[in-house]
Amino acid sequence: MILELKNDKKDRIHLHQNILNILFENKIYLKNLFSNVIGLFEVSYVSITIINPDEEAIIFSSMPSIQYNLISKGLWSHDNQRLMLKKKGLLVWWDDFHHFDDISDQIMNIKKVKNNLILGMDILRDAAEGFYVIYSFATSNKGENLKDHYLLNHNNLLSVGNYCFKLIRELYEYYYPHYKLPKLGVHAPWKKSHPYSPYLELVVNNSN
Amino acid sequence: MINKSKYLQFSSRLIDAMKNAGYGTTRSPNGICIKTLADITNASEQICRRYIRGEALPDYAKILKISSQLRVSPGWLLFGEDNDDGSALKTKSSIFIERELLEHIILKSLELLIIMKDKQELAPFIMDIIDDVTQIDANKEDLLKIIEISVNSAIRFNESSYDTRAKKR
Repeated sequence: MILELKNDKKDRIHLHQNILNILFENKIYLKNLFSNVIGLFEVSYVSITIINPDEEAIIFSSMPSIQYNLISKGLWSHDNQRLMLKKKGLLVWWDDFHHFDDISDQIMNIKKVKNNLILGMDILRDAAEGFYVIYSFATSNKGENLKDHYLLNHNNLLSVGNYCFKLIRELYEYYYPHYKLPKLGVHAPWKKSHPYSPYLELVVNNSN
Repeated sequence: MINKSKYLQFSSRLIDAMKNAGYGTTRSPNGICIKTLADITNASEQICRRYIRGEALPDYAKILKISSQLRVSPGWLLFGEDNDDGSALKTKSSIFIERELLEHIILKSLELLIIMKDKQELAPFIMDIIDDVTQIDANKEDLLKIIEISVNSAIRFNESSYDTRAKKR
C-alpha cells in the first residue's frame, strides 16, 4: 500500500521518498496537533515543511490533499523554489506568486480555490544548523483587511509555527532518526522587516 | 509578468455570468450594469469598469462575493476551470463523491467505531477523509490507498498513544 513519488532530479530541494504516504499516515495525529492552533488568528489551514541540511523536505499538513495535488502534478517545487528566494522571516502572500500563467493558475486553484481559502501566506524560517522551516497558513475568513490583520499578527503566526514545530519534533525524528532538529532560538530577525511592529531599540550612550 | 489575456477571459466570463444572472442592461456598452457589480463587490464603480474592460482582476474575497451572487463557481469565474462548469455553485455544504469510494470509507471506518476512544472524533475524521478524497486528483486505485492509509493512521493512533506507537514502528 504505497503511493510512489517521482522526484525530479533537477530540483535542488527534493522531497522525502515516501512523502505521499507520510501526508496521510499520521492524519489523525496531525489533525489533533493542528487543532490546537486552527482557529487562532482566524487561521483555517496550517502546514509545516522542514528542509534538512541534505536539502530533503518533509511536509506535515492539516490539509494533505493540497500537498498531494501539488506534488503529483509536479507543481510543488515551482511553488517552493520561488519562496526559497524570499527573505527569511518575511510574511509572503500566496498571491504574490500568482502571475496568471498556467502554472501559477494551477497552484492557486489547488491551494486556494479548491479549499475555499481566501488568503494564504508562508513564512520561511532559518532554523539553524542547516535546517529551514516553512510555516504556511491560510484562512477561509471572508472579512475585510485580512492582510492588515496578518501583518499585525506576523509575530504571532511565527509563534504558532514555532509551537507546531516543537510538537512535530518527535514525528520528524521518527522519519529521520539520524537528524536532531535544532531548538528554535529567541532571535527574531523578522521584526525589523515588519512595517507595523513597533520595537524598542536600546541606545547606549556612554561616551561621557 | 501578468498575462493580460487572462484578464480579458475573466472579463468575458464575468459579463456572461452577470447577463445569465439577470444583471444585463441595454443601456451600457458592455451590456451589464456596473452599479450592480459595484454593489456586489463593495468596490467603486471605477474599479468595476476596469474589471469589465479586462484591465484588472478583483481580489479573491471579491471573486467569492461575485460568484456567490451570480451562482457560479469561483474556480470557473477566475480560471474557467474545466471541472467547474460554472452552472452550479460548489460550496462547502455539498459534497460529490463516487459511490464506491464512499462505500470503502464507510467499510474501513467501521473498525474505528469499535476502537476509537473518543467517539465524538469519528464523524469529523470521516468527513476529513471524504474531503481529502474529493479534493485529490488521483486515480481510483490511489484514492483507495489514501483511504486505507488514513484509516490505518487512526487505528494505530487509538491502539496506543503516539509515543508508544512511534517506538513500536
